Amino acid sequence: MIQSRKTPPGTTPHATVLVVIAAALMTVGVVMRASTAAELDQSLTGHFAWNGPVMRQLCFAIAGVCVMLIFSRIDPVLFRWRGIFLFQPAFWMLLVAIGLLVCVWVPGIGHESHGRHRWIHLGPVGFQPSELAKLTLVVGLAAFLARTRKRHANEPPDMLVPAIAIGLLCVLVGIEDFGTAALLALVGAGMLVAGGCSFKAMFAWVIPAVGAFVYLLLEHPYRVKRLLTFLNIWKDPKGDGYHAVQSLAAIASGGWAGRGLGAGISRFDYLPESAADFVFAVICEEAGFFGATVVIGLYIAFVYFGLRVVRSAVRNNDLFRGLIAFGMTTVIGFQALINIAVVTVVAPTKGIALPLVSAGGTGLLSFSVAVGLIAAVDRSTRRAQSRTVVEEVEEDERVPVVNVEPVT
Amino acid sequence: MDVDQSRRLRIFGGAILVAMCFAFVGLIGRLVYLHTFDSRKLTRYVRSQQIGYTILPGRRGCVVDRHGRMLAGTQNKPSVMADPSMMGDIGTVAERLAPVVGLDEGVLLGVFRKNQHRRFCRVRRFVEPVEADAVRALSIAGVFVRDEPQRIYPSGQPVGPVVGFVGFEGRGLEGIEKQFDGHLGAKDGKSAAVYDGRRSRRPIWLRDDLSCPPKDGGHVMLTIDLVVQSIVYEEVRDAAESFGARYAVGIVMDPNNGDVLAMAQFPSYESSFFAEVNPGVRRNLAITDAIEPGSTFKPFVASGALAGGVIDPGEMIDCRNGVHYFGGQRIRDTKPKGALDFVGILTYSSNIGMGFVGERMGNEMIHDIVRSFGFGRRTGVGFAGESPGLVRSLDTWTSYSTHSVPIGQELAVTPLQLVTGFAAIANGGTLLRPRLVRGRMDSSGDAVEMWTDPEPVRRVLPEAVARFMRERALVQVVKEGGGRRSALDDWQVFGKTGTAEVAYDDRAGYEPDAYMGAYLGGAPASDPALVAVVMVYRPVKKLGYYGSKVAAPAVGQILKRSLSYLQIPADVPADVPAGDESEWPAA
Repeated sequence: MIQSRKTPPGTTPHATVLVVIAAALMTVGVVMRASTAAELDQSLTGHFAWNGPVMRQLCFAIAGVCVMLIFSRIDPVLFRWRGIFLFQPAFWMLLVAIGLLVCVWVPGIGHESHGRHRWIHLGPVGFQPSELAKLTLVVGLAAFLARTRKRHANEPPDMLVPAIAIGLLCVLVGIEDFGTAALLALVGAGMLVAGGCSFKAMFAWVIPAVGAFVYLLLEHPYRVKRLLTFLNIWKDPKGDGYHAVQSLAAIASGGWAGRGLGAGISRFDYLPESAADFVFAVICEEAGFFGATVVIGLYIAFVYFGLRVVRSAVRNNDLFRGLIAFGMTTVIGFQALINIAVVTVVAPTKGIALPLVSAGGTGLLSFSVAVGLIAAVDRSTRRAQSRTVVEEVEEDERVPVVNVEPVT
Repeated sequence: MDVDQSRRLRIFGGAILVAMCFAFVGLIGRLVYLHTFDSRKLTRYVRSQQIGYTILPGRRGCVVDRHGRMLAGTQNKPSVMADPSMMGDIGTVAERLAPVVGLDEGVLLGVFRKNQHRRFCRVRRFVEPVEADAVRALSIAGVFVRDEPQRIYPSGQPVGPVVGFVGFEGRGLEGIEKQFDGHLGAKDGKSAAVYDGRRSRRPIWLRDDLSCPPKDGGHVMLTIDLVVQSIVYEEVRDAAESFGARYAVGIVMDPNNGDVLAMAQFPSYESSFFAEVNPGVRRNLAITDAIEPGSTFKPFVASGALAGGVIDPGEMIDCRNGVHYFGGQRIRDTKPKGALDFVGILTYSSNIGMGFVGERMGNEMIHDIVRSFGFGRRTGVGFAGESPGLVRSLDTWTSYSTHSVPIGQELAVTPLQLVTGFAAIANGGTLLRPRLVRGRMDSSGDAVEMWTDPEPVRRVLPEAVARFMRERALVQVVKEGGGRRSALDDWQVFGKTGTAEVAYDDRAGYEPDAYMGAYLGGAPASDPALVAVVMVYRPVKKLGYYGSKVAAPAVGQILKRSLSYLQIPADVPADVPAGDESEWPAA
């Protein structure tokens, strides 16, 4: 409270820090893109051409910063639970996300890459619906969990609706993208735990959840193979263990100080997906242990400030905003964690990008939305707090914030 | 207001995010672990997959004759190589490539199949530049032309057995190539580069720190004079061919310093085609094969008798008209004679006379002079596979040896030993180390080691004895004895014939009708510039087998041609009256 007294209304230190961290990570991404996209027989002007990958990533980063700033101005209350069913923004988001996930399979719209249906192409714009699924999941769960708060005092929220929503998204995403499905499950479970669901009720959903994951695992034999390969990557370093071995090789060849930006070798057709899923290995190779530690440090800082935002929202008794900030932080944090764990061969190989750093527009923009939403939570929370302090409110209820919707 | 839910978010949500931070710290720990414990194995793996080496072949040094004429050298020649893994369809590649490189399509297909999983195989070694251009013009993926060092021997057959040859792996296997393999041999360099991970393996950048330049081999200069060598080869070939001999060997040596100017044999071979000749022919017979010398050995024992004072040059010895029994051992002469003096015994090559000389000397003295001339031990010429010959130890000598050894039996010598010993008589009594190698040069041609001064082993004979042997006894052999066919108009030749029976390899006794005709000669007698030996092994008997017939003319021709080439001034034959000089117009 003392701190907020000093802070003029409208300024949001945590939000600023979060945007700066995200922008820093995006900068790392652009620099690494410039490094990984370098070809031997390419001129400098060709490398930095407007339609080239480096400029493309730079444009996406700039757009990402804009998206962050725009979304940080939008009060997340926009997404909160509305009384009338058809007016639920979360419901429509879910519907759109599911629709797009199905569209992936529609010929002409859906696009196959590396043998997986993960993309939707609308003209020149490519789009990965699983990115939308992450945002939808967080927003939807936050809205639903915060909504149930007032219905029956001190009663845990209903489990059926969120479990079905999580399950549906997980299975639809998981058919083509096991890693993201695992991430969704993790984020979903985290939100249920943090959102106040009864542990007993959650426990009942463990069996179907495990069943679904086993199904997704067995549906594609390569997933089982990857899982087994992970146990001994040196058994077949040129075949099944190739990704893992190349990733470790890149990390090791960087050493403590790194080979220097642009001096990496593993990106020359040794390390697959060097610009996307394995960009962290290239960071390790070119910037060394210290550079990699800086990147991890940025994620830690991001999670820490995300936590600060969550706590200030909680302190303000604002469950919905708190859950939005928590969910978005976990999406970014868990995805970074899984990606780095895969790259350092702590976890089996899955196709999952490093948030805000990996090459690719959809991911970058959707994570920008996530960062923007966290910043918006902080911003609106602070505004509410400062108003509370300035007005020295006598009444208990914080009128603009507290949910006064009647029970539907 | 649900305090419970807010508490859950504060506590559990906070816990989840804090745990996440610790997980990130754990991943930093994982990186530390990787860099600390797995780094060595991983960086080795990285190195093996990223860094590739190109061999930069070094050039093997040359073997040259005493005037720098090339006997063996190395040139780069294109070879056709293939990388079957880069080929699309090996069948079509074989079909297109076969007519260009002149190989059967099936053979080519077999080569590709065999090396299917290799990145490199040789399609054809050493093609002509025209063929190489044709292969390049095809521009088939996975087929390329690369220069490889090829050993060439421009001097061909005459020097084959001396120079030896290099195997397919570039290592010397015979002759000088083997003896000086360490000096001639080049050390290949390598160029290290970082390659990309594609199948085509493009180099990204060079790693100078891992590269090293090739080290070219040094050169070897022989004492051989290619012209003399060719002369000897021709004469030896003619002798062997006209008498149907199994082989013939000839050596020319400079008696003043021990340099072997020529060392040839027939049949010979070209070093380039060593694989096509019988391994038995590849030996340098002049050094590696010891045989019984026969009468050519007589001068050595006889000079020992003179030096030992057991015989006086003027003394007459009864040679018993051709047949004599020395204690049960029957010895015959081809030309029966009665009383002969010392010179006569050598001139008519009397075995009986030498038997008496041997009796006077006794076994010990004979043995001493034989060993003193260097027989029975390696000459130290420095050639792989040199035979020491065979001189049995004194305690195994019998009373037969007393009469056998002086006529060149019961022992075996190499042609090189024979000519080396003869050089000692020619140069006034000093045994020199025979030399085949004149010097070693480094790869830029600067001398590392040179052997030009004579290297005396020991003094064998007093000057006077050597002089008497050379100017009287052995000149007489040429004038009246078996050496007549070696006489020359311009230079006084001295020499000694020899005809030996060929001993069985595996048992005692001699093969019937198997002979070795030899001749040791030198000129000019007043100041010998050259000594030579020719041995004709197993000539056809009815064509002739006496050394005087099969070997002496060859030595005569060798001396004549070589002395002309070397521009050795003619020495006026001793029996031309001095007054003749006055007939020359005054200058």
